[in-house]
Amino acid sequence: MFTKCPMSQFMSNRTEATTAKEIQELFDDFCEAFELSYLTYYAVDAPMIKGGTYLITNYPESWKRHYFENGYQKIDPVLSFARNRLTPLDWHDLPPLKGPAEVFFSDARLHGLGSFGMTVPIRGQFGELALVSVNAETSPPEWVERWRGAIPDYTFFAYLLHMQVLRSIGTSDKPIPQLTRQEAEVMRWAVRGKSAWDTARLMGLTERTVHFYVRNICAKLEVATKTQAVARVVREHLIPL
Amino acid sequence: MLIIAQGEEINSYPELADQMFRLRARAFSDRRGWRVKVEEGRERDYFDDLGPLYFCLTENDHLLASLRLLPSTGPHMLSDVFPEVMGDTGIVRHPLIWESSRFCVDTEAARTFSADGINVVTRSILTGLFVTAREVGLVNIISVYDVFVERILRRAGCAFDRLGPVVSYDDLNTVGGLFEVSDTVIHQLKSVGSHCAARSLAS
Repeated sequence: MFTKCPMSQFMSNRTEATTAKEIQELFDDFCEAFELSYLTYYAVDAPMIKGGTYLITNYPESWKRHYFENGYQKIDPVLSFARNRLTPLDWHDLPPLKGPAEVFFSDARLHGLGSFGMTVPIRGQFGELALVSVNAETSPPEWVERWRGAIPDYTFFAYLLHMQVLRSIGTSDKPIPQLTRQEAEVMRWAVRGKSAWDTARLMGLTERTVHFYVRNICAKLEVATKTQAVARVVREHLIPL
Repeated sequence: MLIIAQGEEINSYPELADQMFRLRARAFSDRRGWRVKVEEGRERDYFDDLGPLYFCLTENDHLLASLRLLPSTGPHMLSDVFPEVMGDTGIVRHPLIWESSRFCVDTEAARTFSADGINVVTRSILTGLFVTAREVGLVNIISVYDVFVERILRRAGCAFDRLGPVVSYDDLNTVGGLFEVSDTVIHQLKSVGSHCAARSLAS
């Protein structure tokens, strides 16, 4: 779907992780695999979740305690800024911090957090907003290099994570994905090894539309690539082939 | 100048926002006869409350064109209002596919701007849209519009596919369109622009 999608692929290989313990392990493994310090999932304004918010993170216990004891959710600059956004936020692009928020990042570093962060806001169909953040300690050039061309993969990863968290807390079960007639036909050709170009000719569509269908199918099946979509369709008999 | 604002950022441009809601009332209610809710000469709907990404093209503080972008993973018009135009495509939920809506051009202002004004303005705002979409990593943009907009888009050098049948709402022929976000598309929009001896607005 993108030139490289290691984060989404990582996620689509871990769909069996549903208990709190398994998800916590997934967070640690993710950070290890991608040389990041911490991964945080924070859903806000979520009408289908009791209390409206849901947090999963592998931040150090001392930082979590410090954060909540001091009511940092009220001054957290990432939270207050990303909450009003739809596009990815590099923490270095935050507006200058004033007042009590000034000490936020230096405090965070005292508790072991890195100086670099990237947050992707994912808007869900119930109007909820899931903020997925990674934190790392690195150098500015390495940080810039790491994200070159990698934002789409990270965004798709964040979406897959959000869907999986919703399932794990029981707000959505794992329904059998329903492919539309067109999507099913695209997949029948994909299973036969046809390229997007071939499929476009066979179905009387443009290649652009075929790529678009494949993307929708991947999002529905919660997989990162067409190859993974083919594997899932065949394994779970999702369409008559 | 192209002004891009998301979430509460639009509140930093109160006059521009006001011009946008007024232009939308004129373009959609007065001129095209859509049944949209207009209050005190301004058209606003539920989707404006979701903090969309607005694109506003201005010249000397006068709004020439505007549109808004919403992620398809959240509530949007093709999922919540016009699912029929998607035909067999069904509802789209993908974090890198966003929906553009309420695209409108102040045709009178555009015409006084140059003879080819509507095309120049359309191309300028679309170039800004696709460049920004590319920057934030989007792969497609989907949209629902009345069929005559297709002609404007095509003339502006924009390539797109229809996603479903033409559907009539209140005698208005409406269709869903699919756009690709890529360097090729951006290049195309820019090069069509350079063939027309018109000055470009987007900067």
